[in-house]
Amino acid sequence: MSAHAAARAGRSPASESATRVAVVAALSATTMLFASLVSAYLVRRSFADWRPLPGLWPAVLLVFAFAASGAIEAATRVEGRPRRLGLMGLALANGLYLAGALAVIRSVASGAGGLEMPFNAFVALLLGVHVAHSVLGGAFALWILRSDAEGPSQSALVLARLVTHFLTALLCAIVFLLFGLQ
Amino acid sequence: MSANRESQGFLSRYVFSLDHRVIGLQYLMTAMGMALVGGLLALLVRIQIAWPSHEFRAVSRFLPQGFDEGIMKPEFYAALFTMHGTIMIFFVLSAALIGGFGNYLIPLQVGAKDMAFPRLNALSYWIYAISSVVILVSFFTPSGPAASGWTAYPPLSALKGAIAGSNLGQDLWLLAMALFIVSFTLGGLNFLATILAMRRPGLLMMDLPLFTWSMLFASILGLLAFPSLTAAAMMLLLDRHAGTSFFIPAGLVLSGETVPGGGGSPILWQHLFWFLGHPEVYIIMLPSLGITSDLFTVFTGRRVFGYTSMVYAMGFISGMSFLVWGHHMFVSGMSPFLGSAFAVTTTLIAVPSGVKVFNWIASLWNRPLRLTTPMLWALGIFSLFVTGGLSGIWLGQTQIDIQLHDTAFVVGHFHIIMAGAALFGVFAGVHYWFPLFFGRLMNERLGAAHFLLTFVFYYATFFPMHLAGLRGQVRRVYDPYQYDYLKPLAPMNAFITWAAVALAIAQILFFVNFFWSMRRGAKAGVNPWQAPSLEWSEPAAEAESE
Repeated sequence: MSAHAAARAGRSPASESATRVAVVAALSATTMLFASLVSAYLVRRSFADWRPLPGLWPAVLLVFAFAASGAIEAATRVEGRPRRLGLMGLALANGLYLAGALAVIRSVASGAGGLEMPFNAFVALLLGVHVAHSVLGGAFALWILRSDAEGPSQSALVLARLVTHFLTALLCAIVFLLFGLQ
Repeated sequence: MSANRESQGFLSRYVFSLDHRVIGLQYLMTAMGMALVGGLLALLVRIQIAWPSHEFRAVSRFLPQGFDEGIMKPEFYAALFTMHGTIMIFFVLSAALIGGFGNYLIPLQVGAKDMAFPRLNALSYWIYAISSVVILVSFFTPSGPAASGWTAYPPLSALKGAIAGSNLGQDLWLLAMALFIVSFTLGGLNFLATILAMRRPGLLMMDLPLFTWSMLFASILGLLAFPSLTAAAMMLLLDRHAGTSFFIPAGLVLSGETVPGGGGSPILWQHLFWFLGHPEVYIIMLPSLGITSDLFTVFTGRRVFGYTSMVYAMGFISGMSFLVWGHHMFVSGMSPFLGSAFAVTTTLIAVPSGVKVFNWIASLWNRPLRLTTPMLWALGIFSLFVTGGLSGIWLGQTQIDIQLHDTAFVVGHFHIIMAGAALFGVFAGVHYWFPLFFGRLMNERLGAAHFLLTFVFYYATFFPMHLAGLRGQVRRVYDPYQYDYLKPLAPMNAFITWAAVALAIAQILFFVNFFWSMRRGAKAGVNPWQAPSLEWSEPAAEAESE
């Protein structure tokens, strides 16, 4: 085996720093996806037929998202059973958010104007993409939190926290865009 | 390692392997197969342009759905140029340069054991393979493949009943693109993580080969630019199937009936598409430029001139590529002031491109050149980059672009600068790293003959297109000679088509050389080119297992 091959053999795949780089890169790509959708929204809302509809649902969804962020934040600061409780809280809050968001999408799609109304179409699109990313983010969180007997490592929790906070921040931006800019 | 490999079955060793080298070769082989399809489509396009009213009864026997009594149908012609562009840009050039060379070489060049996430890497290839199948399957749908151009401009692409290919074919096009983007994103994450976090201890970023740098920038571009097409594709899919009107304008009449809904903006698609479209040019180009620089280092016997400035130039080109998308839309009715801004940003890209060109000249200046086949291809890239870059400066100016937009001039320009330079990069890379892939050298005489013929016929095919464009020949037109002013261009178009046929025939040399050398080529040994980079410091994959 050459010196180079020996050097290669010494580096194990998927080190923590590599995972961190990959997560940041994935979040950057997600940010660009939403930036593109937001750009489209900003262009479209300047048209004459734009009619936004009021609704209470954003507040409910935000509550679930912040609950998820709070749960993962708490879980990173404690250990043992409280940490497990925090992670269960995260799963519950995420589940409630997903159910709520899907209900909202269904409601705007079948409600007055349906998806032919541009505002409704953007609500369904932006929330739908956020839901898809929440599912992916949840799956990723489960993957990095997969634990042995000692529970998930602190670095895994930090990554899961980053993803959860990112998704919450994204939802805040979407809600602000849909209702704060009117 | 070899014992381990021998204990594996064929499927786990060559098909479902997690080894970055096998995955790289899988990408390369699949891309080569797709290139045959894409090239064939190009020939059919050229034949139609040269002899639009000629009856090709023999061809029509093989493609009955595309011909009517030996004459090509207009919708089939539209499908041909759509699928040619899509397949060559995404499924051939991006896949071969990024997926093929990137997977094989990045871990070797940074001294890592494998990619950071080998399973994700294998998944990336298989998603690409499935997306290739999906795009090919669209040829066999009842209404034919997508026919709205590789840019898929709405409303043509948004309305299912617009033309034959607007139906299932367009859906499959969108599905294939979505899968391709997922594959590219997974690959990009892996490349970034491997280059930034898996380098051999002590190996600094500024010690990396320029090819690895180019892969780093191409990965960043892909990760940040492809989401824009993802967003646009989702909106287009909703327009087609969920009743939304993101891109369908109000009052649109199709077959005598007003399209319901509407109120959207087709221009919005163009913005989103070209926000990806222009960086995609550099996603393809940068690896080719990186290969050129590294080959100049190897075959001049001295590190490429201005290594650091080369890195910064690639970084600057990458950054600027996000600020120039509007130059594809000068005729879309955009404000002249905005057009001027895009003209300025476009012209600015000439600065780092000039840095690269002058660095290359300085690298070659007064040096003993080893004119091996890989070096010939690198010099070919240099030539195409300069030629295509010069016509790019023309097209970057609003006043000229408005005259030349959608003419054959643009087709000639981008085939030289993007397609040609990238394709030559693939050939350069294959010839150069072949010993690493298979432990053998490709035949130098066949390689040189292939290069010379390709170089001559490539220019013979695409340079006259500039002249045709200057004389007003519009692109994507089924029968150019329906316009009297284009009839005098018929001989020139026939010449271009014959040159394209010769170009295609010349590629047989490459395939013969490739497959013959895999088995019969001269044994390469370790580092046959006396290259300084890390990938040559261990035995080749196949040689090792023998």
